[in-house]
Amino acid sequence: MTKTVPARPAGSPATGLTRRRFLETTAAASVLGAVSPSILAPGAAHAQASGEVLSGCHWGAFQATVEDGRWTAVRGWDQDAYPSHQLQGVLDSVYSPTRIKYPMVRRAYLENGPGSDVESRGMDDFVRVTWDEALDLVAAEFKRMGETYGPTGVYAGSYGWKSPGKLHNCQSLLRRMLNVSGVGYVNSSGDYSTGASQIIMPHVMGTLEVYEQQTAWPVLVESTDTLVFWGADPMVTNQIGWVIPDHGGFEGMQAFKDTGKPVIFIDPVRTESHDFFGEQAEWIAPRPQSDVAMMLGIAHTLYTEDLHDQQFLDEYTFGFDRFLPYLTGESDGTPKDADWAAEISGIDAETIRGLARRFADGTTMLASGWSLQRQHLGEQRHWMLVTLASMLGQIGLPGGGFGLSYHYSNGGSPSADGPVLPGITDGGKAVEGAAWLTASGAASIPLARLVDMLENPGAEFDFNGKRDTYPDVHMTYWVGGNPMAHHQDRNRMVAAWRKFETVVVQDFQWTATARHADIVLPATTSYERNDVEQYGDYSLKAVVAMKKVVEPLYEARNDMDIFAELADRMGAKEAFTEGKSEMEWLEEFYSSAEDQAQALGNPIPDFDGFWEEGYLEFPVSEAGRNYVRYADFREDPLLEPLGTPTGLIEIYSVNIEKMGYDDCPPHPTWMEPLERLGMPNAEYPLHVATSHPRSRLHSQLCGTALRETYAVAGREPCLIHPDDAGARGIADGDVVRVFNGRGQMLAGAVLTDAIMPGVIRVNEGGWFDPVDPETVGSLCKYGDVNTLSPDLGTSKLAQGNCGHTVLADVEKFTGDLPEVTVFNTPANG
Amino acid sequence: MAGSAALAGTPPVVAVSELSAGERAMVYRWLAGLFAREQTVESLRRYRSAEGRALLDALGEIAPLAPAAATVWQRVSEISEDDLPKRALDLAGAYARLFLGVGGRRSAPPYQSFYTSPAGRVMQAPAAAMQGELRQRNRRLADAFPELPDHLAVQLSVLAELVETAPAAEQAAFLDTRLLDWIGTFAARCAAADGTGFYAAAARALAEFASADRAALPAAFPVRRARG
Repeated sequence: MTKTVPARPAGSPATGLTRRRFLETTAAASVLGAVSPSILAPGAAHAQASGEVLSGCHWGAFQATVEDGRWTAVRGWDQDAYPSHQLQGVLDSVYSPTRIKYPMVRRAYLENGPGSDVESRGMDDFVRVTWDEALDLVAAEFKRMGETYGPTGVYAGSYGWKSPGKLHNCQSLLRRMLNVSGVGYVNSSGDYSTGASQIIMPHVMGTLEVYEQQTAWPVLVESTDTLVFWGADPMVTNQIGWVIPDHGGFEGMQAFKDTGKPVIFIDPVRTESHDFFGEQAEWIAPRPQSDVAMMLGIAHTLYTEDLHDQQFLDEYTFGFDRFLPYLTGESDGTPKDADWAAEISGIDAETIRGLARRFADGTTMLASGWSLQRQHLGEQRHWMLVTLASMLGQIGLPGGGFGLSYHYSNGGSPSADGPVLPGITDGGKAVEGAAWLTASGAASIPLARLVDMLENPGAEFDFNGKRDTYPDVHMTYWVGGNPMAHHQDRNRMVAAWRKFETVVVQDFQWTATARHADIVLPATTSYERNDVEQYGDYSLKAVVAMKKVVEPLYEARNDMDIFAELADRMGAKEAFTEGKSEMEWLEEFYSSAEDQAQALGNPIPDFDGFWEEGYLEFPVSEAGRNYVRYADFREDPLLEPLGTPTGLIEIYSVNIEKMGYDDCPPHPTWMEPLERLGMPNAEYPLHVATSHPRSRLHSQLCGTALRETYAVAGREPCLIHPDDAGARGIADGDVVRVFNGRGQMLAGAVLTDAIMPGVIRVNEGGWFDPVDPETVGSLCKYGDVNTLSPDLGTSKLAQGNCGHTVLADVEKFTGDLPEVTVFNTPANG
Repeated sequence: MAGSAALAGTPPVVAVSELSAGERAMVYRWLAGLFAREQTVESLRRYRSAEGRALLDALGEIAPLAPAAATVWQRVSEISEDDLPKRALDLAGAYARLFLGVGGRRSAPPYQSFYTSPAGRVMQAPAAAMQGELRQRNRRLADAFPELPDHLAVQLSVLAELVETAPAAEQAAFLDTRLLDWIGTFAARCAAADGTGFYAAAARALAEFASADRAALPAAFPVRRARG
C-alpha cells in the first residue's frame, strides 16, 4: 500500500525561494532531527591518557606511546635486544579500517533465520544490529541447537593464534561460557603447527617434545661443532611466541655465529636464516618431502661405515634391532643406502655419505622445524630424525642430539627460576553431574579433521589407537582464529562450511572467516584491556603487565564481557564471572605467583607494586644457562626413564604396531606421500613450499601496512627459480596463476635463485579473496595457498594437517586482472 | 503519486552563494545525518512524510544538492510503505560495505585520517585535531555515537556550528583543513563502490556543496592545503 504524500507546503512553486526558506523553519529542524542521529553532545570530554605504556603481544614486549588517548608510536621493550619489525603492523591492526566496529548480522540470516541462503556467505550484505539483538540471536541459537540436535550440535573447537594474556583467553572463555551454561558442544584436540609430531613423539620420547625447552643456546655455542637446521627458518619464526617472546633465540644465533662454526640448512629455499650465518652457512636442497629417505641414507652410511653408537642404542633405545633389517634391506630387499636416497631426494650419494661422516665427526645438533611433519605421513619425519640422532649417540650430551623447538618461541633461550602464572579455566568443573558433558566437551575431534566431520557426520575415524565417530554439528562459534586461512583445501572447506546453519565469529577485524559468518561480534584487541602474561615461552624470564594501551574503539567489547552477557542470558552469569572484575582476576593469578615465589624463598612485590612497575624480571639461573635436554636420562636411564612404555627411546613402538595402521608402521619408514616432486606419475610439475611468512603471524597482520613491504603487484609473492620462470615466459613482477586440481590463486612472481628448481614458495596465511564467493573453486585474487593444499590426515595415527604436501603448476596470468578486495588500502594505494 | 518540481528534475534555482548561514548549517546537518548512521525504517518514513518531502524539496533547489535530494526521494517514494524495512536493509548493507569495513578495498572509510596518513590508518593527526576542536568548542561525541573524532559526520556537525557562530575566516579554514583535502577522494570511492547509488549521490552532493560553499566565502583567505 502506498501512503498518499500530501502536496508541498504553502508557497509558490515558481519562486522556489519560499520553498527553500522552509529550511529555516522549526518544521525543517524537527524533521531533520527525526532523520538524523545525535552526533555531538554538550560538554568537553576529559583529556585522555598520555605517556608510555609497557604491554606485550605475540611479537614481543613493547612500549606504546600514547598522546591524549591515541596510540601514536611503538617500539620494542628496552630489555629486548631483537624486537620484531612486525610491531609496526600491530599498531596498524588496531587502527586499520578493517576493524569490526559493531555487531553485524548477515542480511539473509537476519531476514529469514538460521541456514538461510548459506551459499551467499562471503558475498551477502551485513547489517548492523544492537549488541542486545546480536546476543539474543546467539543465545536463542544455543537453545535451539540443544533442543534440536542434542549436546553435539555446536562446534566450539575454535582454534587459532588468539592473543596472549592469562585472563582474556577467548578460547578458554568460550568453552567456559558453554560449560557453565550447560550448552553441549564438540571440542577439538591438537593444533595445526605440530599435528603429527605431538602425537608420535609421546610414543617415541614419552613427551610432546615440540613444546619443550631445548638444550640452552650457551651450551650449543660452547659444545656444538655442527649445527643443522632441517626445514627451519628460525630468524623468521622466532619473531613470534605463543606468549610474549623474549627473542632469546636471536641472541643464541648471534653467539653461535660469532664462533664461526658451520651451520647446515637443509631446505628447498636458501632462507633468511641461512643468509644470517653468511659464509658459515651451507645450503642443501633435497626435493621436498624426501627427508625420511635422505635420513635413512645417512643412517645406512653410519651403520655400514660403523660410525653409529651401538652402545647408546643398546642402553637408551628400544627396537633398533627390529628397524635394522629395514635399513639394510634385509626385510624388503631394498637397502636404504645413500644411492637409494639420492634417487629419491635428488641429493647426490656422496653428499649424503659426507653428511653422515660429518655428523658423526664431532658434536652435532639436529634442529628440525615443523614443516617436515605438516606433510602427508609427517609422523615418520621426526621419528626418523630421533632414530638418526640415536645412532649418533649424542642425545643427552652437551650440544648434541636433536631439537624440535629451536625455531619456535625461542626454544633454547636459557630459563629463569620464575613462577608460573595460572590463567582463566574453561570452567569444566562447574558441570560435574551432567553425565553427557565432560570438562572438554561432549565430543572431540582432531582439529584438522574439521571438514571431514562436516562432510561425514556419523562416519567412523581412527585417531591414535582409538576409533570414534564424527558428530553431527550445525553451528559454530569461532574466536581467536581464522580457519578460512589455516585450514587446507579451501574450496572443499567453503562447500562443507555451508552445513553450518549458524556461524558466529568474534574477532576484531574482518577476516575471511568473519566474511563467511552469519553473526559477527566486535571484540577488543588485546591493547584495549588489561591482562598479565609470561615473558619468554621457555625462559619465563619475566611477568609483564599487559596494560591497556587505549580505550576500546567503536562498540568493541572484551571477550570476557561478551561471554558474561551470553552466560547471563542462560542464567549462568555468576558461575561465569565468579563475581570478579578484570583486575580482581589478575590479582588472583598474581597471588599464585606470589605463593610460588614465597615457597622458593624469593619473595616478589605485591600486585600493586608489580602493576605500578609494569613487569617483574627473574634472573636466568646457572642451571638454566647450562641446561642439557635429556642429560638426566643419559645419566641414569633407570632412575630417570622416559615416559614411553619401555622407558627408552622407541625406535620401534609396540603400541603403534598394535594399532595396525597401514600408513604408520611400527618403525620409521619411507613411504610415498599423496603427491611429491619427482614421484612417478606426479600430476603437476612443481612443489609448492608453504612456509611461515616473515612479516605476518600466519594470517595475522596480512591486513596491515606490512603487506606493502612484500606484496608483488598487490598479491602474495611467489618465489620461483629463473629456470622454471623462463620455461613459462614469466618475468619478475608478473601476476601468475598457481593452480592444481584443488584450486587456483593469483600471486606476484619473484624470480630468485634462492629457491631450488622445481619448487615455488607461497607463504601460508594470505587472506582468501575469491572472485566469486558463491562458486566453489573460484580464483583467489590475493593468494591463499590453502586453495591448493590437500585436506587429509597425516595418517590414522595423528590425523594432523598436510599443508606442505602440495604439487601445482604456474602460468603467467593474462586475463582481466581482478582487483584484490579483501583488504582496505590507503586512499591512494 | 504527485510529483515534485525540484525532485522531478526542474532545474534548481538557488546558488550556494545565496544561502543564509542558517540554511548552510541545515545543509551540513543534513549531510552529517546521512553519513552518521544507517537509515532506519523510521527515518525513511519521515522522508516520505509531508515535512520530509518539504525538506527534500527545499534542499533540491540548491544546485549541488539536487541529485542527492532526488535520490533520497526516489528511494523512499518508489516503494510501498510495507517495503520500507527491506529498503532500510538495502541501504544498511551498502552503508556497512562502504563505511563499516565490510567492503574491504572497495569501500570509503569516513575518516579524514584514512585519507591523509600514508598507511591508511585511522586515529592519526586529524583525529587529534578534531579532539582538540571539540574540546575547544565544549563538545564531545554523543554516547550513542561511539565513533572516531575525525568521522565525516562529526566534522560536518562541527562545521554546521561554525557556520552559525564563527567568522567566515574560521569556516574557510575548517573547510580547507578538515574536509576539502579528502572528501573528493571519498566521493570518488563511494561512486566506485556503492551498488545502491544512494551514498554515491550523497557523497557527490557533499563534495560539490562544500567546494561551492568554500568558493562563496570571502576570498581573503587563500585556500590552504594544510594537514594534520
